[in-house]
Amino acid sequence: MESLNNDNRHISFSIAGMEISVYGNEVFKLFKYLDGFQEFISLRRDGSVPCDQEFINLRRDGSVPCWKIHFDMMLPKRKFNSLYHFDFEGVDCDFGFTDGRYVFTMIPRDSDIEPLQMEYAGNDEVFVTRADHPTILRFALWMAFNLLGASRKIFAIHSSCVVYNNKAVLFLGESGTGKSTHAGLWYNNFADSFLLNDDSPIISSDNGKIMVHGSPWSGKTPCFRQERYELEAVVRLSQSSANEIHKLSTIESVGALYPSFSPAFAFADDLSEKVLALVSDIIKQVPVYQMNCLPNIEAAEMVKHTLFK
Amino acid sequence: MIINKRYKIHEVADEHVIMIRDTKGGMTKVMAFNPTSMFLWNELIDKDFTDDEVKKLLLENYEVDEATAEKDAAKWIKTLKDYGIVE
Repeated sequence: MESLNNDNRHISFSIAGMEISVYGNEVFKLFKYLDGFQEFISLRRDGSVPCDQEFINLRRDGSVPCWKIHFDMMLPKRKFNSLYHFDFEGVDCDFGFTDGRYVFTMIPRDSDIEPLQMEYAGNDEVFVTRADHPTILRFALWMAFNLLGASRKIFAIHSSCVVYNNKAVLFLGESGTGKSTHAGLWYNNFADSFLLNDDSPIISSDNGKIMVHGSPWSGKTPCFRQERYELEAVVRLSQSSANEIHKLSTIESVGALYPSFSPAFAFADDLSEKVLALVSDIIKQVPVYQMNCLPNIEAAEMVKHTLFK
Repeated sequence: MIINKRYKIHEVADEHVIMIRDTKGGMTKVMAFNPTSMFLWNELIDKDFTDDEVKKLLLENYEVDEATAEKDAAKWIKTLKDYGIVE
């Protein structure tokens, strides 16, 4: 029987316990080949009935749709003071607030690539101009996912994540500290260990359990796993001339975790509040360590011994 | 002086903290509040206050002598002023 819904042609992804359904011909075309997302496809229908609207539905597995990303090419240009400016692969990114909404813009320095504008007014809907460039679309989706996940304690966390004995271990640290290197020491040397994500896994708090999910965003190491594991511990790495590990106090743990979430959110009171709510849950559930280390196997052995006696 | 409304106290894992971001893009600092600091904060949040009023609050609500109260009040004010939380 012919479906009455215009959803014959759509594609769904399952990411971090979210069912993400893409509707509309134009976005469908973009998503079909989007790097990293293919491993997360849960349903694909190549029907021919066009959909006159372009949007993405997001819902927790088994529940009714609760969040929406609308693709809208008619978004009015807005003037806003940038609260946070950063560069992302040759794209000028600005995050700010105006007229009761957050605005995020991505303006490529290469003028052949379309700029992007995103808006979020604090409810369950994000509006975004359609981005045809895959790099921009991927990052815009990361931002939309974080904005919408904020209220449900679901955030991407800048880290490398290894799984050992079916438990997730997160390695934090500033860029260039050696997170990936340290993670590599685990999965190259320890049996029952593998990489879950090398840049931006997703962390969630569900009924007192802290879970880490693979994601389509994995930085320079392509590692796209549609899997999730309970978090065992968080380890903040710093380079040092000798190996040393110690557990951090609650306050120190806040200082270690908080900067690992979307930096733009630190400039928005209500969003940073939501980040802190998740940080609070994490610290209550799992230990956070500081590891000062060399990039050697002894360092990985030391962490493993501390975490998994 | 007044408490800068830009700063909020958050409860994180049973601690009370203020997140202080470095506008130059550096590390975020975490300032923790003990119960006495919290008490002063809650009393003074919506007021324009003086050093003496902070001292008076300590004297009236805690078992401290005048010299200690004055010293503690000055320390509380200085710490918060250093980060622009009180101005």
